[in-house]
Amino acid sequence: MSSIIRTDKLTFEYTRKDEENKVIDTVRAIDEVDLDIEKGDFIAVLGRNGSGKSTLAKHINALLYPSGGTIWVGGMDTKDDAHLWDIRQTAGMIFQNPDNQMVASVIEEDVGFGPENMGVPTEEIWKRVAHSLEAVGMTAYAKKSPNHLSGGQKQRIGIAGVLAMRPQCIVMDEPTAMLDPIGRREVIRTVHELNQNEHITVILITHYMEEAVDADHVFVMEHGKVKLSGTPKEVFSRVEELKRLNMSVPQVTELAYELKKSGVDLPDGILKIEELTEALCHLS
Amino acid sequence: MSLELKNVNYTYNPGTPMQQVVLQDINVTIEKGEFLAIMGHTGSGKSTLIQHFNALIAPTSGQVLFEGQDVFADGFDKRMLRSRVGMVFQYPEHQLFEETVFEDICFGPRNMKLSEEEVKARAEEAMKLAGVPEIFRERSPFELSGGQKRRVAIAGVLAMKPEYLILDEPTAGLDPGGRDEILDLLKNLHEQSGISIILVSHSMEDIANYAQRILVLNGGRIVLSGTPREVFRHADELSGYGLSVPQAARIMHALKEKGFDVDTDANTVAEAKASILAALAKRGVNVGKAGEADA
Repeated sequence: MSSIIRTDKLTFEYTRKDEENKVIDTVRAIDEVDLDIEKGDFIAVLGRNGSGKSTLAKHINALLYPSGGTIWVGGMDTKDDAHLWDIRQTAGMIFQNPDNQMVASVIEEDVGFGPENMGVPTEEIWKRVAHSLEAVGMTAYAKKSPNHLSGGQKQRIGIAGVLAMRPQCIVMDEPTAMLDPIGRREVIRTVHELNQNEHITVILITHYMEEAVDADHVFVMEHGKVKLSGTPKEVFSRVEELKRLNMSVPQVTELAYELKKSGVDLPDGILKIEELTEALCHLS
Repeated sequence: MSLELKNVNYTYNPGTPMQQVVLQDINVTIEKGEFLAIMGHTGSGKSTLIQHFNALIAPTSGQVLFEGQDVFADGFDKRMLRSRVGMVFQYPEHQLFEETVFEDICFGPRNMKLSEEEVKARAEEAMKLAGVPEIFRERSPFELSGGQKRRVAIAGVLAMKPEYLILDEPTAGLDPGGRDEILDLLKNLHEQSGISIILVSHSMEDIANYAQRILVLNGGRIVLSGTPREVFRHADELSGYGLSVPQAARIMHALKEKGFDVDTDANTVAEAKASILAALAKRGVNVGKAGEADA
């Protein structure tokens, strides 16, 4: 068994209460979700706001506990408090706003904050800091202040900080939402490198389908359920359905779909420019 | 009727060791009724530039003219200016604060010292214009989703009846559905209410779909200006500024290289589709349901 995250009918309900603490409303943010994520996979989770993506992410790190069903992280049931710290060390988390996760005034200290809290010996901390900074391509900034970094660089420092805790899995909740296109590219490239070079399982939650194109597996969520699941090719060939779910499809995929609708003989699920140009060349 | 920046320069902390030139030699005129997009990578001066338009920042040298009048001249009514040139900052929902959605939308016109009747009437109208559902009226703005909050924030600016609406990355952080809603809202405001839109955006695709004219900023200077077709022709130059062209344009260039006779100025899916179908027909490729016209 090489599964790192598994859920069985995972369910989570938010309740709204009035002043007298009476429940006035219950919302099922996650509705009986079954997942099985293999070690070393690059997973993308897509879905509109309110589809339950972030709630799911928070379960992987035991920031939220299921109202029903079970989630196992590295084989540990998150409901078992005894495993709390092991679970958080297994699955590191990156959030949307890089400014909210900076704690120190010098970058290398910021990266070392996690392992320091874990009681890692000093010498080992510095080794990890050096390695993590190298992995995200930020070694040159070790002694600098985080103040003058771009958003993309800050987010990479955040990733280095998680990496220094030696997690098996990194969960990223819209890590590029507040970045400009250059920052977005930097972060996505870094995450792919970690997945390939360090064999870390990546769970990337995003609105941008372009970021999911190179994933091993894609989940699309809607109303707390997994609506579509498969390889990027399988999922993205369902243009009509994705649009109905409020996802934006990359222009090349939409264009290929439109051409196909007009009778051009193209394969399904074109995700990259080269795929489209080659397919069109084949026609003539 | 226009909004004009004339020889504008802006420097942070002039005369100190921290001196930093942010804008250099900016000349731009925005006509009433335009849909203008401003693009440039982070730090290129976009946000500083737009804050000149409603006199939130005074240029170090040069002039800001509203209908030909210098807005920094003595006696110019800046309060009037700020109601006619509305500004929607990044993450405007962070500025919501009232107890109910309706009260929040009333805040702007109430500050303009209008009669309570007029305030309410304007808030009603703004709610409709911005597409804020009636059921939200008495709700707390903090209960709404990100996209809904942003609509309320935009309604708050619209209630001041601006002729120009400046928006700094109004779709940042929204999901694709929310993004399309906001962009369609801007399109409607532009087409139906004749409001001039000045949109700062990172999304080349959105700009190609909506804007009539683009300004490209780099290092505090305007380096390119023109229609989307004109500007996106400069793919290499744009990439030097840390920007790109819409994916559709990149597809067309790739096809051109492979010998297809396509329109390399196509920036939207619809334009690209029409051009590719035409190119295929020229090559004698049999297109199954040929002639299906759904432009």
